[in-house]
Amino acid sequence: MNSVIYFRDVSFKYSNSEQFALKDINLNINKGEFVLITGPSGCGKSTLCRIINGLIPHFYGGTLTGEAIVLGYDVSRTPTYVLARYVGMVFQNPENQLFLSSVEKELAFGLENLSIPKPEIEKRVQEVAQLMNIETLLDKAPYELSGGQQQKVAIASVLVMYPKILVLDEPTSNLDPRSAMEIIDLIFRLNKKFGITVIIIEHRLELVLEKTTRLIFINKGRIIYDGDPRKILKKEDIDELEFYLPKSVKLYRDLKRIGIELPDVPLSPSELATVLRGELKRRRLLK
Amino acid sequence: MDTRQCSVAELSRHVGIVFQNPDHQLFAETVEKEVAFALENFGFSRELIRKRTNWALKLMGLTMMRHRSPFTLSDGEKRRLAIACILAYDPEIIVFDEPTAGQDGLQKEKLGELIKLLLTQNKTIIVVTHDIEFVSERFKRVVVMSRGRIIADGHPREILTDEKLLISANLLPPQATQCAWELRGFNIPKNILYYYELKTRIVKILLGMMR
Amino acid sequence: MSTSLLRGFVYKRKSSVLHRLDPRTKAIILISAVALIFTSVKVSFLLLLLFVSMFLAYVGRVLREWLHSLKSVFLFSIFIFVMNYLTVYNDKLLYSLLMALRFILLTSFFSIFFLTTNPDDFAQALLKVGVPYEYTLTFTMAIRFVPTLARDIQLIIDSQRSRGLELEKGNIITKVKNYIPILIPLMILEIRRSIMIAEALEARAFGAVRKRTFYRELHLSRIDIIIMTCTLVTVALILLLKPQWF
Repeated sequence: MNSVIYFRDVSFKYSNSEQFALKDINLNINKGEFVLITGPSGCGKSTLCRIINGLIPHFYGGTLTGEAIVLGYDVSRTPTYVLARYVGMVFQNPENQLFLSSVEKELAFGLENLSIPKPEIEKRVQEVAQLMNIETLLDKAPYELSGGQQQKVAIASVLVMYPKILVLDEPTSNLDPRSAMEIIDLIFRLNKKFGITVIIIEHRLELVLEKTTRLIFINKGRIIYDGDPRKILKKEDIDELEFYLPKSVKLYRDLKRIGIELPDVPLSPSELATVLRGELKRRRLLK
Repeated sequence: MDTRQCSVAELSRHVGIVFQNPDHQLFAETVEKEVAFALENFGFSRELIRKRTNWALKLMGLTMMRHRSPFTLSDGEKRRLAIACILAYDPEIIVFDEPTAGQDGLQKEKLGELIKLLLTQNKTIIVVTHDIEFVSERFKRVVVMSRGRIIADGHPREILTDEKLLISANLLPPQATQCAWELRGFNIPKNILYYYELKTRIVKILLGMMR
Repeated sequence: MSTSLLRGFVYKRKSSVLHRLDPRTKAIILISAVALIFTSVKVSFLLLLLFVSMFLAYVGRVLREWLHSLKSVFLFSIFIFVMNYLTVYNDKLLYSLLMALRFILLTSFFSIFFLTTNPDDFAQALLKVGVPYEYTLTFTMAIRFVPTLARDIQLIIDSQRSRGLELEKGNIITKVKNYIPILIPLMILEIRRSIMIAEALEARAFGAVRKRTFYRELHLSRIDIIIMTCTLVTVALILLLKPQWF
């Protein structure tokens, strides 16, 4: 009963296209999961995300078939502004999500639209600004901020609505690596601390994999892999994923190929160290 | 040439820049005309324009799409088209501005192959990027800039394994180096840069040939 | 010239008495000044107004930007002077001088207004006088995206020039044609951007309820009311009594 997103045989075709952008998607995502969606560009990841908050089929025209239920709402019958309250959406380019002249106004915007009373807005703006560590930026204009700060503000501006699901479409692809990592850590904290279900699209698996509880790989509009990354990455034939793998995972797979099987797939450099230490201890005990 | 004394048009004949976002330049009716644009501006003969356009389209795998509008291409194809536009007039120096931003793994790999190919043709390639992973395995020289200044210049081995330097430029070490740093007590040098170095060391350790 | 002219009008966040005034107060000052500029027939009075605007620029701490806007319209005002001088028969010198001065004064007051008025506050003021929220939001966003647009244009020009495009080459017709490779990408880019902005608006529940909350509302302070009254009374007196020096 913890399901927050339920898709059954969902297919979608944009009105100006003959091909299906998504085909026969079956998906069940539970509360509190940290889901990483990846796949070649143009594979349908972004389309999937836009169904979750109703931008598809309400903003982008097309034919949506199958059953798409988000938090009990039938997406095809629920306007985006209703879903927006529960599904916070963060896009790739922070610049196009910030359209007002101060950070404070950005944070208040969604709540104003929902007609939340002023004292409550004030409370939430302060609270989220503190949480995201952007209190000192409240008076600044978005264009005065760095890319990383802008993306933090974009996330904060949906957090004020207390979303149950956070959907992020390549949120770090315009950022430098350190800012990207900071943003990912922050998203992870929100997931842990508040149990917000996170769905993140990312090409650079090394940034997110360690935190992921569920990996979904999409290609040509279909789900190819879906499950615990530690299980998927242990499989033999995952050629489609080859160019996406972090070095620690690649190492695991290369070692296996020459007959050395580590007990676990290390998803990050630090996990690699732990796994190797364990393995060495085991080998020495065996001797 | 003294860059202060040449016009942009003169210089660009020799230096081609592939900008980050192809949407900042695509405008022509067809893919073919898009590629021919620079050649026409530089006053190439019609015959040469035809030849070089064909060559560039083929190299970037766009021949099939030559009569399509650039705006109907996918993002990956647009990026390839933008590169074809530059390669067509054969500049000696080619600059790529953040070529890997938002690219998936396969696209990055293909781009890497293309750069390798260009290097064999004696081109000077300059890549402006944050993407350390893309750089570390492919390039022999790295220049680090911070706040408008060059703060380091050398082989990736010295530069990308220097923790202090990386922090001051807001960069992360390559993954292989990160792994080496995490493996304290394993007797692995801190300046591991390439994946194969890491792999060789770890295989040796696990097979008990070291320590 | 276009960008430097812009610099004399784009809001700079600073803290000054003028910045803190309600935009409605500043609008009253602006309208009063415009009324005086167009009704006065004395060069000396217009020079006095110029002095007043300089004083306002000083109080608003935007002296440098203000000077910038005047500098960038200076040539144009000479042009106005010359044109009037050549086309008018009676009182040539006085009339041309008045017209040129009026133009400079208009620039001066408008520049101070925009330099010291946050576009958001301005939009809020529009809201207060009954303009619907959709329109004021469009206004705010238009202002917000000016720097972004400028950057896009620069990037497009850079990338086309590096493909050998020479904007200044050729006769008038070729020159116009030269701009096609700039305008097409720009149009497509901005349409695409506007779609992304619309998406983001939707995702933030824009249009969810008919009566939205307004988190920050404008309030006229006592100082605003005092300044407004003084300005209105002074201007009304001058316009009614038409003293000799006016």
